[in-house]
Amino acid sequence: MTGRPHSHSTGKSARASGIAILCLLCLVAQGCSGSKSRGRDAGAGSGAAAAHSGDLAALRAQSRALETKVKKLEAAQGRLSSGGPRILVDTSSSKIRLMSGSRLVAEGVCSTGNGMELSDSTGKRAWTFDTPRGYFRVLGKVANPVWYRPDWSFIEEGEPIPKNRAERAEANVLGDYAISFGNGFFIHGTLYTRLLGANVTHGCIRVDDDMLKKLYAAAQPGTPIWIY
Amino acid sequence: MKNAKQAADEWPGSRPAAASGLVLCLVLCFCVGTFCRGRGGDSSGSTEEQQLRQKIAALTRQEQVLTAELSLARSPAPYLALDLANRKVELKIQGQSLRSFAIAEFEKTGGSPVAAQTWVETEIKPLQLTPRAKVVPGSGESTTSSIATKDPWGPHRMPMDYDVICKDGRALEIRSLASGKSRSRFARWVVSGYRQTRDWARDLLGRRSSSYREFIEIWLSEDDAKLLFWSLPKQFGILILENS
Repeated sequence: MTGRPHSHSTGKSARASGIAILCLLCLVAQGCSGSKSRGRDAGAGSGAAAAHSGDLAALRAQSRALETKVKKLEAAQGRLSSGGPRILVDTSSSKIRLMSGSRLVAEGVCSTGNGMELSDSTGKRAWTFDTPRGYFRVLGKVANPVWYRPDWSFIEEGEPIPKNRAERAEANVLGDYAISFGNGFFIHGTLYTRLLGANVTHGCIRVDDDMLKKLYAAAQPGTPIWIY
Repeated sequence: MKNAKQAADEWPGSRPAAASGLVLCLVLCFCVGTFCRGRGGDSSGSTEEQQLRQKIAALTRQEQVLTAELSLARSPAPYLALDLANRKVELKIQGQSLRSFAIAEFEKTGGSPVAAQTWVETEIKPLQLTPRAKVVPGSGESTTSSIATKDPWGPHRMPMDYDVICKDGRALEIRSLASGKSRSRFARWVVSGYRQTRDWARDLLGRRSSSYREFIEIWLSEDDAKLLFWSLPKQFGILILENS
């Protein structure tokens, strides 16, 4: 009968340990919920809760600061395209647009570079008739412009290149106005209106008389031109 | 039966022990419930914290993107915005989009993922030649115009695969998938497969990885790749946006 005393003592110890665990768990549960409710009620009363609420306050402040910064950046970006005339040339669709800020003022058909290459007889000088891409500014504008033919024009026509500048002058070929944007490139009119919309120029941008008039009226030295 | 009853009689502590075990379980459930309620009561705070952290993460990304874009947009020069998260590439000026193209596929190698970064283009290397018509000296402008109208210059004559080399050993590789204008779905599949295999072979031979520290390869439609090449200015910045 070695089992009986052993089993008896096991029952007693199980009861005792059960009660002990029960008390311990109750205490732990009370302690946990008590500290949490105290923390919630008293706010800064508990160190952990204070840190937690402090974290939240810091996060709120960080969020507000970021919101302000983002709004400022968005405003700065919005200001970039505001005000003033601007000219956009879409060479793929042969469209020229006059804008005032982001508002479309006028739109017309244009012609741009024919992409061809020309070399002189020696092969030392070569030209590619592309309209440049990118950002430019109006450098000047003139009414009743006179075209001073560059060397390539004489080579293309098979004529001798004159030494006298006056011999290069040719009136009434650029239309009523010409707007210069650097490196010998102009926005100007044309006698060949049937070719508008085709890529047939030597790099200049040709437009019809009506569009040219609007561009001439709006453009001032410094007016931005984007060609893409 | 006798044996079982006898065993129960011989084990008098077993019933109270079972009862205390049951009570113990109940108490345990109560304790767990109380603890969980305690945590649940605090969940509003943690939810707010979580929401704030998410908001801060989103705002931080937005701030990084805007700051990077403004660094390019402040200059009036056109720039490329490569939005890998939304799979589009745009030609932009001062924050405004001039052209937008859908990215069919992309691959990024090297560099750490960041929300926004800027690259500076130094050179564009086309993989195909762009044949240009020649003007015969003495042919006259009317002949030139006639040739130009018969065989017009335009985006369709641009290369469809090219590398945009950037500063600091970076490159943006633009590749084209066969156009929707290709005769059949099978033909498109073959052409696209060939182009991708060619690129893969280049990669395998180490020509690309050895030459660039960091590169992004994007696949556009044939027409888009050509139009993008056509529109690019001399020297431009590239804004790269990622989902980080």
